Order: sequence, then C-alpha cells, then structure tokens
Amino acid sequence: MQRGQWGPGAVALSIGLFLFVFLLVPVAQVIYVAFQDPNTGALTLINFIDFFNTSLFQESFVNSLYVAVMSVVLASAFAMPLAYFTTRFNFGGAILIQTLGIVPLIMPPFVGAVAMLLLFGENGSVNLIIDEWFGFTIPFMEGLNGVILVESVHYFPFILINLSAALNNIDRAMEESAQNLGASGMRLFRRIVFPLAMPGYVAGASLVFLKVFDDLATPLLLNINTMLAPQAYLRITSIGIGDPMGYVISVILVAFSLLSLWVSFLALRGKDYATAQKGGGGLMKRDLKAWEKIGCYAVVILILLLVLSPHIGLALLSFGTVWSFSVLPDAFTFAHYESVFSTATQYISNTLLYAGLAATIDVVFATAIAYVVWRTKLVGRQWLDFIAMGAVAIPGVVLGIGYLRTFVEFNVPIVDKPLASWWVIIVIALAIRRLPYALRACVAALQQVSVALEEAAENLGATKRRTVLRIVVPLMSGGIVAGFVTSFATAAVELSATIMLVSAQSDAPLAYGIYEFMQAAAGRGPGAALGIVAVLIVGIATYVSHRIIERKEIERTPEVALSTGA
Amino acid sequence: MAMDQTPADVGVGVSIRNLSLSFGENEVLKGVNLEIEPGELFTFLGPSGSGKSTLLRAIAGFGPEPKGHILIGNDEVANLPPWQRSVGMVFQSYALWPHMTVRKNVAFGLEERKVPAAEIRRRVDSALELVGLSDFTERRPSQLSGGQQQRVALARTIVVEPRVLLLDEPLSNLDANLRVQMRREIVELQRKLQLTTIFVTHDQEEANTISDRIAVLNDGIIQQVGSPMELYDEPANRFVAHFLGTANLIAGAVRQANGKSLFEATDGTVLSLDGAKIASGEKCTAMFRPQSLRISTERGQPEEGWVEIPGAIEHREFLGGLIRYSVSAGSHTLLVDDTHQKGRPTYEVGDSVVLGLETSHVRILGG
Repeated sequence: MQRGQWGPGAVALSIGLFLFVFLLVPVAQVIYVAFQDPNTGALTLINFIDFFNTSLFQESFVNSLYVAVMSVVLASAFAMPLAYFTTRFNFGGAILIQTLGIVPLIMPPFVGAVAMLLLFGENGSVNLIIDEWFGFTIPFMEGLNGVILVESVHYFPFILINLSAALNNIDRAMEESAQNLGASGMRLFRRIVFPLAMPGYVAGASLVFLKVFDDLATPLLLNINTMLAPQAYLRITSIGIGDPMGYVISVILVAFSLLSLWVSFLALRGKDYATAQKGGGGLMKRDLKAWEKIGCYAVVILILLLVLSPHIGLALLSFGTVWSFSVLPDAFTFAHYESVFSTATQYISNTLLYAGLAATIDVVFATAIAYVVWRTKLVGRQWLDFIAMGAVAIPGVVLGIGYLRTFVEFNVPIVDKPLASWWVIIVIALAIRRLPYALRACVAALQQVSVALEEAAENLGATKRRTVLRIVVPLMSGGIVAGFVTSFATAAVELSATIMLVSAQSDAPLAYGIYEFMQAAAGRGPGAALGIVAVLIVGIATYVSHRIIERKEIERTPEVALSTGA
Repeated sequence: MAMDQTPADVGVGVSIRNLSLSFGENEVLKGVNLEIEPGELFTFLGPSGSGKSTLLRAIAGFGPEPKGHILIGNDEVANLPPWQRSVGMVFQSYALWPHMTVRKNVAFGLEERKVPAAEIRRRVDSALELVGLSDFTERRPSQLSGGQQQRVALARTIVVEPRVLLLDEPLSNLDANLRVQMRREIVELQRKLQLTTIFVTHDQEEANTISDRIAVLNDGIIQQVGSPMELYDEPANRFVAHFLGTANLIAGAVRQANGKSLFEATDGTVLSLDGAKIASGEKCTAMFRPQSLRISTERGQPEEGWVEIPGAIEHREFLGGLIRYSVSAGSHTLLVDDTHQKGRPTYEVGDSVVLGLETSHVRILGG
C-alpha cells in the first residue's frame, strides 16, 4: 500500500498544515485566551464567572437563545405546510416551492433586514395599511421580533429542504404495510410517517438554530446589540483585542454550534432512513379537490410573498427616492445605482476577487481531501476530513477574533504589514469558512465515480497522478463546479468574519459596503442598490452553474449508469 | 371492523370478478376473473408489466380504484380501505420500519387492533419463533441479513392472522441459495397455517415449485389458470407455451384426410393428429417441447405414432444434464434436448441427423 502514496501524502500534509495554521491555531488561541487571567496569564474560570455575573451578558445570552429557538419555531411553521403539500398532494405549486430552496443562497439575511424594516416596521407599509383599515399596528419588527422574523424568513428553506427530502425518501411500502396491518389517518402519520421524517426535520432545525445563534450582521443592522455575537464584535472593536469577554462569548458560540451539530448528528446517526426503492418511492400522493387546491395555493403564495419580501423591499428601496411613513416610495430613480457605480465599484471588484480566490482554494482543497479520504489508505486521512468539516462549527466572529489575535504580530515581508490586516487574510477566512460546502459537493461527486473506472485507466498504463487528472477530476467536474459556485456565492455575501478583518475601506468587499451604507438613513438607497448587485452576482452564478451541471449530467449519462450499476 | 378472527376465517377463498383497473389512460387489468380456493397456494405468474403486481395490490386495496368485484370469503372488499381488509401483505422490499425494533415491527398490527399487551407479547413471541428469529427481537431491521428481514416481514404479517396472505415477489431480493431455502420455508409455513396465499413472481421455476395452481398473466389478461404441470403440458396459447419452458412452435393449418386430422406445416411437413380439437382449415400452431424429440443419425422405419424429420445440427449448447441442439429442418429451426451421460456419443455442428417426434406429444394451439 506504500506504492504511489507519496504524492497524495505530500498533498494531504500541506492541506493539513494550512488547516492547522488557519483553523486550529486561531480557534485554540481564542479558547485559550478565554480561560486565561487577563492580568496574570494563569488558567482560570474567572472570565466565565464575570460573564455570567454581568447583567448585560446574561441578557444577551438569554436573548440569543430566545431568538434562535423562536426562529426555529417560526421557520418550522413556514416550512411544515409547504413540505407537507409537496409530498402528499399532486399540485403545480411543488415547483414553486422547490425554487424557494435557493433563496437563502441568493441574499444574506442582513441585506434584507432594512427592507423588512420598511415593509413591516412600526411605520412600514404593512402596518400603515393595517392601521388605516383596522386601527392598530402589529410589532413585527419590534426589538427581538425583528431579528426573529428576518432570520426565520431567511432560513426556513433549510428545514423545508431537509424535511421534504426526508418525506420523499420514505418508501411507499412503509406506509402501505402499516395500512395493510390496520393503521390509517393520524395514527399512521404519528407512528410511521412522522418518526421516519423526524431525522430530516431535526437536521434542518439544528442548522437553522446554529445559523441564527451565530449571526452577527442581522442584529447589528437592526440595532439590537444585546445578543452574543454583536457583544463579541462590539467588545473587540471598541475595547480592543485584549478584552477577555469577546473570547468568552466566542467559546459560548462555538459550544452551542457544536451542540446543535451534535444534536443533528444524533438525529441522523444509524438512521439511514432513505428507504425509497429504485424507481418508486415517495409517499402516496393524492389529487386535490378544487377548494383544497385554492387553499393550498393561498398558503403557498402567502409564504412566498413573505419570503420574497426582503427582495421586493430591497428592489423598491434601491429605486425609490424617499421612503418614509408611506406604503411605497414617493418616486423612483436610478440615482442610487449611478452613485454606487461611480463611487463604490471597488466593493464589487474586491468581492469578485476575494470570493473567486476563496472558492478556487476551496475546490482544489476539497477535491484533494475527497480523493485522499476516499481513495487512499493514508494514516489519519479521516482527520483531514473531520477538521475541514469542523469549520462549520466555527462562527465567523470567532474566526475573525482568532485571526486578529493570532496574526496581528505576524508581519508579511514584502507588503510590510501585519497578516491580520492584509486583504489576503479575508480570502483565507472565506476559504476556511466555505470549505465544508465545497468538500461536501466534491465528496458526493467522487462517490459517484466507480473505482472500476480508475482501475481501468491504471490497467491501461496511467499512473495515479494521470488517472486523477484524466479520469477522476473530469468525472467529478459537475460536483466541483457546484462546490465552486456554492462557495463563491456564499463567500460573496459573507459578513461576520469579514467585518472583523477589514482594515481599510479600499480592501472592503460588497457585504461590508452594504453594511456601511445601511448604517445611515441617507445611505440606504445606495446600500440597497449595492444589495441588488450582490443578489444579481449570486443569482447569475447560481444559474450558470445549474446550467453547466445540467449539461454535464446529460453528457455523462452512460458513466452514471455504470457507476450506479457497480 | 372485521378484525376479530375465528379459526373458521382462516382459509377463505378469494373471488375476483370482472376486475378492470387503469392508471390514467393506461388499462393495466382488463376484466380479470379468478376463483382462488380456500387454503390454496396460488401464484400470479407473468413478465414485468403484465399486471400481476397490480392485481395483488388491488386485492390489498392499494393503487387506483378498480372496477369490478373482489370477494374474500363472502365479503365484498373492493370498496374497503386497505386497513379494513384483513389481508396480510409481504412487500417486495419487506418495508420493515427502520425506526422500530423487530419486536415493535411485529407487534404493530396487533397494537392497531387494540389487542391486550400480554397477548401481544405472547403472539409476537410465537410468530418470531415460527420464523426462527426468537433471538433477534431487539435488533433493528438494518442489523439483519436479507433472509432475516424477509422472515420478520412474514412474521409481522401472519401474526395478525390475516384471512389471506399476499406475497409480492418476496424472494427477488435474496441470493440464489437463500431463495431456494426461503421458498421451501414459505411453502411449509403455508401448509402449517392452512392460509390462502397468493404469490406473485416472474420466475417460472419459483412458480412451478411452490404453487398448487398458477394464473399466467400477460398484458392485463389472464392467459391460463391451472396446475404447474397442466400449464407446461397443455398450454392454452403461444404465450403460455413460451413463458413456461422452451417450446418449438410451427405455424400451419389442420386438414382432414381419410377421416383423420392432419397438421400441415407451412413448409409441407405433415403430422397426423389424434383427437385435435381444431376445426379443419383453421390456421394454427403445433407446439412440442424439446425433450419430445428423439435424435439419431439413421433413418429407420418410423414406429406407429411417430414422424421423422431430417435436419442438420446448427448449434449446440452443453447444459450439464442436457445437451440442447438447434437443428435446421426445412425452413424451421427446432430445439432438441438430448440427455447427457458420460461417454454417450454427441453430435457435431454440421452433422446430418433425423429427429423422431411422437405425435401424441404435439399440442395444437389456436392462432
């Protein structure tokens, strides 16, 4: 087994080294500082005791938990009817609902937050209408409500996708055998369908919890500072990187991330409930009666409107002149786009550069890691996979703080400034944070490639390296493109790590620019215009990749058949 | 609900009367009529797409609503939902619920019938003992082998004492050796329980070995019903002849000569037939099995009731106990099975041979 292992070994080692320096060390540093006495440097729990004795932090902790839990609840309320409709009934809304799945990819929640404020705020369009008709207002966006609404509207597709997939993976025979043995109606649902779909739901819900709990930008934009992530950010940026509270909060954020990943792992462990047989599968679907169809469409359209409201609001804001105390903007103009393209183009070019570089690093590493883990017998190869995937559990704020702390004294030779304030560190942070996405796509692609195809190449005289280049990578290309685009699109709108690491206006990417604009009322128009640009970039990238993957699928149909037949 | 079982319920008959069923425009069952006797092991045999599984599922109450009648015992069930029919079905994929242990899976149907806990325990234990899985009660389905899963599926179904047992290609997910063993176990279990059982398969060997009677289906129509041997020896049409074993089929017509019925093949070969029920002048097909032909090199004096057909060996397959020759005779290619014994002479490709056929083995099929 030693033969032909040198190349993969060297590759694995260098990737491992990269992950060690840019993931393990900074995170370890953050954890270490959290347990360190700020004056003496000795190990202590004093920082945590201080944290839990400070009423501001107690409140922040409770608020963060409350917002995360309520967002899961509200997101479930959106997702469950939609998942149920698409899997149980035959109706055209299914495609509509499916497209909702890509919404979170297209716009980060904080971009839509301001638009939501204008639509659902105290003096927003919806409340103005309700007030006029019924004489009262609903505090949709009041305090924590605003964060919950924005986050749940944004993240509910995670639950929708996972739950729908789980429901679709239930073999019809599972349901039929229960009916055959005498179960029907609610009992059938409670005893068979629900337990089988549960792991998928829990996986989606814990992902929503994790995302909301760690989110920094949305509460910041809505001016809610009494939550954990904003507190960490504010402590570090206002008091300085020596303040231990930022680190304590970081440890808590990581702990809760790990907890929710663990819950999701428990839910899915040993429960490969994908029971669908080849060709068949999915629960029994029935046709809807006319009035039922109307009801279903009404619910779907209502939820769809709600989900698209950030986009609609943002578009209105970007074209509107003045929008205040009115249902719609007073007049429409292109002025915001003009000002964005005359003053803010560096945000766009920075974003394309950073996200492009980060996504390239991601797919190269992900392909290599996937190959090393699944096709070689290198000792410790699982650790590579494990550590790379572990980046999921590290909130952006934590990584940002870790980088600041670790690399502030490391001077980069030629540019002559600390690594922590060089723009390359932003690229590295983005690459580390999005590596799990690319890795998942690449591993899935590699598993589709039958080992026999590689053996055939080797049998005909190709070396390992040639086989990888000529057979494996081309066959994986669909997954690699998917991984690139997912990494690119999500990196293009990342803010929580970037906001900590941007040291000069000229180095700032789009997300940061939007955040800057949105701070002031006068900047909202241009900010929204910039937001629309971001949505377009991500949307186009997603569409293009979709087309490429589709074409690849068609080209490769014989290989696909072969690999599934093996 | 007709859930309470008395021993008298066990072994009821099933009548299917004029049953038709469509998936949208596509008519899958076209007026099926069948009488299945109490306690019988009955098989639906047919190629994929023949409607055999659809028919079975219709009896269980799955799939689109059929037109016509399904009677179990004396009860019309065609309009009942699946959970009120009390027919036990074993699914092709076993459909064991992965979130429940073996015990829970088997107990499910009894729990749905509100059977007292102590009795559930007793009956589950005895059902699992019956299928030899008493030591696996706390396992999850994923921890069992294919054969064990199959047994759990059987136990889960028979524990509720259904009036009829339906088995949908239950052996197709097992490997060859296990398949033979499981089919014996199923037959033994069926004999022991005296349970009316309907078995669906596309495998004629499987059908022949286990069935009391078989219904051969093709294209949504029952082609023939009978015991395995009847179907093999006296197929009703070309489809059944082909589907159950290898057959030589020769197109021709029947005519009368000297008070005898004669079959004249299109190439002029004439066979005299006794008691063929085909009217003269009608187009028909002569069918005979490869083992009905005797192969030799010399043309002798044909015995009474035999005809001789000269030909040449075209191809030869060694099948172990048999050698199957393809012999070109006139415009036909006939398959001949010759038993193989060590040292016995064989024929080479190109050899001229004479085939002897006993005319009583020839069956005349319409069309």
